[in-house]
Amino acid sequence: MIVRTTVNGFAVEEQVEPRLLLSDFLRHTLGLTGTHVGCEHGVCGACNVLLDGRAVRACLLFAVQVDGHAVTTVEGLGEEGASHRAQTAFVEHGALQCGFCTPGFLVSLAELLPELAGLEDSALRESLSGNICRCTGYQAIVAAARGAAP
Amino acid sequence: MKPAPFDYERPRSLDDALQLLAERGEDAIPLAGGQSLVPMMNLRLTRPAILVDLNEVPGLDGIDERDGMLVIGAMARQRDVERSPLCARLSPLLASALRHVGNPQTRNRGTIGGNLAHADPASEVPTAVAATGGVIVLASRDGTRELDCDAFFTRPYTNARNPGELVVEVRIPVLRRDQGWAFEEVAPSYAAQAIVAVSAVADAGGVRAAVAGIAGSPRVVSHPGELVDVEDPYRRAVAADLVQRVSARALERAAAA
Repeated sequence: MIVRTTVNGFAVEEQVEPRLLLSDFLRHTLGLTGTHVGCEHGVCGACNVLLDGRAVRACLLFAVQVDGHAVTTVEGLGEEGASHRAQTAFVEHGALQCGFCTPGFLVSLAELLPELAGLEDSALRESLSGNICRCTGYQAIVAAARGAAP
Repeated sequence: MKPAPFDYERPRSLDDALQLLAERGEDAIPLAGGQSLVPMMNLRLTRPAILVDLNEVPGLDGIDERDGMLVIGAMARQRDVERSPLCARLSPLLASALRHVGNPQTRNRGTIGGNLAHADPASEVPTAVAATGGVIVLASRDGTRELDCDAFFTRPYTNARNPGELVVEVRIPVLRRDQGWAFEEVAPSYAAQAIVAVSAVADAGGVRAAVAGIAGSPRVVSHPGELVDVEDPYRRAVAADLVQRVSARALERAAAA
């Protein structure tokens, strides 16, 4: 089946099997390995991408389903030569250790940032509950999210 | 961790979707948001022969008020419903229950209809529908039928949908001025599946509470004492406690209204 889509602003057209997951399409077909695959059943959030601007699990979508839609991966955040403010905040707060979960957090934050300003800590943590980090204990990630929020 | 092969159909209208479901019968499985179905496919717990993807079918994602009901299209995304001002006003109970479903990213994709059709016995949304006395609407080429929760939820992870039918809508009675509501759940963490979840609606006449996590489908009670027959002692204690608290809160809100 043919899938015609836009990934990080570039038009893409590929022949794919219907069962190919969007996460595998991005990584194996397009070589965009920034999207990580952790649990492959929607729990960990490492594969989050923006679909038409909304953060979703790439492992719970088939590549054929993004036909006619726009996908943004972690590689597409920020501008040419300038990091996204979530990326800058992660660096400033040391919000990663092994870095495996980081792309998923950044994609979640890219959508959520405008809503995070002024949230209490518990609500902010609930907003980030769709991403699992096994290194940091989340303190620095919450601080980075706080720092990046407008 | 990859799904087994399947045939993929992407109808562009409800008529086409119902036609496909009628022709392909039991082999055809509707794909809504895929936040429960696709994990099961990835784990090969299920191997649908044909997926009928509903995501390009227009007109199934409305959120409207009609005849004293909040009417929500099956393909309305959970996050859109949760944030809809109409839902906040007409069914604050549903909006509150939805905030406990999955996490913001799965709710961006997951749908109301998919959540109901999946019939997870621990899911929050069915408790809100059951507590309010809402109905689920199924459509086929031959017409539509409305089922209440008792009729719709048959067994854990199983609903009354026949081959050729599709969940198209849920209708939830609008919260009346003299009613109060409350929702609460006990779960290992915010994003984890609930152990027990309770929705309640109350007025001067009493409480209608719906409990998830203690039976195959939401169980409606008016008093925590009715739960003495729950087999698992932990769930029995948690459910009774939650019904007590949620009922008190709903009655408080009803009295303040």
